[in-house]
Amino acid sequence: MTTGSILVENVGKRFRRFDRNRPVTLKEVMLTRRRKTRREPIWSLRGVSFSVEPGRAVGLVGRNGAGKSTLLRIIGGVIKPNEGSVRIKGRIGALLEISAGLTDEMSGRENIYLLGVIGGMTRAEVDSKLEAIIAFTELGDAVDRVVRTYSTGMKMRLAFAVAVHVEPDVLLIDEVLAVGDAAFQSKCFDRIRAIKDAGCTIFLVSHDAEQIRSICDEVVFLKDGQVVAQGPTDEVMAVYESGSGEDGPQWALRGGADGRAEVAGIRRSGSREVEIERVELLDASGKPASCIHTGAGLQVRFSYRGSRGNIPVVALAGISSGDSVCCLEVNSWEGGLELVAEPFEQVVTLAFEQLDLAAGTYHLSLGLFSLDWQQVLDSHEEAYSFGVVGPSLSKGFLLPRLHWSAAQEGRSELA
Amino acid sequence: MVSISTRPVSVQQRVQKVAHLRDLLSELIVRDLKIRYQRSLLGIAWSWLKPLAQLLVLYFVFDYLMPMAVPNYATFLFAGVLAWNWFGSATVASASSITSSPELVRRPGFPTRILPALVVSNEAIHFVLALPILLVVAWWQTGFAGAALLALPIVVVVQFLFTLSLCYGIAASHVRFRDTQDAVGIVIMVAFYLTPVFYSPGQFASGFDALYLLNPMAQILGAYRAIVIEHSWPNAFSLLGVLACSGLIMFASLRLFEHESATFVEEL
Repeated sequence: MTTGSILVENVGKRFRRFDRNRPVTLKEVMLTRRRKTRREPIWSLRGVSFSVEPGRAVGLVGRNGAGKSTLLRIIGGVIKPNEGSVRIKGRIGALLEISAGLTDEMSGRENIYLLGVIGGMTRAEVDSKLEAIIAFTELGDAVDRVVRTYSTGMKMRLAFAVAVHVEPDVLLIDEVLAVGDAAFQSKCFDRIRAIKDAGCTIFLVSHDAEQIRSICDEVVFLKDGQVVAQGPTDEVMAVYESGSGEDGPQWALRGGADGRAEVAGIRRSGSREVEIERVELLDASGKPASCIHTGAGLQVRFSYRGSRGNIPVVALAGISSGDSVCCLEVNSWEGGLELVAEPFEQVVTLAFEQLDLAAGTYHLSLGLFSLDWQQVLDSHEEAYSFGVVGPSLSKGFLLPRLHWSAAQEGRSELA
Repeated sequence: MVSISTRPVSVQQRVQKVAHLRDLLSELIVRDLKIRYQRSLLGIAWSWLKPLAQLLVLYFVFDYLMPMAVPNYATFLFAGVLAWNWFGSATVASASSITSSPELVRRPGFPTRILPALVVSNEAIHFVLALPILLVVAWWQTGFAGAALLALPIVVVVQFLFTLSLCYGIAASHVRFRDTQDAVGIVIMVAFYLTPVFYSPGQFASGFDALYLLNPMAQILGAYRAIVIEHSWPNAFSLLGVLACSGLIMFASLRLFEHESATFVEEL
């Protein structure tokens, strides 16, 4: 593992349910007879797996109670999971409840040392950054005043300034970016971006979609303790903001309200002797979708109409990755389907039963050609985009269902 | 498998980690001292007033009202009271060491193991600050102790380790059962009378020798008194025995602490 990486494997966290009736004192333990009734445990997180490469910024979104803070604290090592494992390499820094730990009876300067050391720095490290920290707080001479006399905003600025100077390998941030006035906030943002650019892995919990978009490379969307979607920020945020994930995978279409996924200004070429008219992307269950999970099905449905009757045509469909690398190209002739255009609308459906693509944005190309491929009738090149959420790959786009295993060679045969 | 591994690997990282723990402990000690004595008239002098008052009462009772027949009783009593106060207040205070610092315990990367050590250290400071008074009293009663004084830091370290070994278990238990502190308070109060703090172990009825021999605090008090009264080196076997005992308790106590620390945040 390289420094700064996070590996979360099948993490589950169970919370005890008998909170109210649980004995809190020794006396109560002695007095209450042990009841045998066992209730179903509540899992606040279950089966959460993902990995983060060093230097990436990952956002964590989800509604209240989805398990975001629990997951953040498990990653921070403050709460231990009941199942699964978390592996982190490097020093963890945290911007959670940052002003907690401030001591009112001490001066700002003394608090900088205290918070810095609590945050994981040695005194020598605080010494070397003291000037930068004081400059960041914008407190001026007030830094030598007792913190008791500070306003809330000043306290927050002091705490934040220390927290962002700890230089951790992994930085966990929980909803704390609403510090001070707008100018100070944008300064905090710049600082967090600088921390990220310096190679620090960032894990950010926020309800603010703009914050997530401006900082994060990837997003994990949690719902009821489970990962609903995971992948590049734009795709997952589209899923999150569409309010979907509420009743299973039912992604709203990003295009027009009529369910058409057609994008304005597409690269279109051809004689238009036969025209592609309507294009829809559907998920495996036939609902309009702009985003699917890795390994899920995708249906491409389009209609076409000829300017006259009896024109034999071949339909071509291709999928290319975000950077225009062709992933696949198929055609109806090879697929054993004979198409003949007539002067009325006909509908063709191409169903991918299982699309093993890694997370990312992909573009669909559609085209109609004459049977001998000599004539382009109507070609929409990389005209329809869709997202795939799931595990991301650093290289490549193919991600079939796979698992690694290890066995001791020859042991069983010899035995 | 449940594992969270953020351990340092290289030697340099280990050194860095130890340096950080040292700085963290000293910063927290300073913070606690400041909080305790900020805006107080006498400040740190309060460290002396409590043992002095206790000393006066006990001295008055057992030297005038019902004499104890212990030679150099003022020194004997003061050594006992000072060391016992450190032990007693640290064990009682350690109970709330985790529960009173939720903001630190909730912080990712914060070593919660430092909190019981912080409490024992805080109380150790009061002990060390009052030590000069003990030495003055001892000098006045018995003369200069000489080279035996070199053994004093060793005894202090042994007492620190023994106290800390109990504190981990107490702190962990208090997170789950909030009446642990009351229970510890009572146990310490009873132990005060079972331990020869204001009387001499020689005054035991003969059948109670074991009570003295198996009581680590009695051995530690004996070591202090050997130094300041008899001006001799403390019994090495008895101190090694206390160390071995502390080691065993520490092992069990830390395991309990580590086990419970998984749920600290949920219980706070």
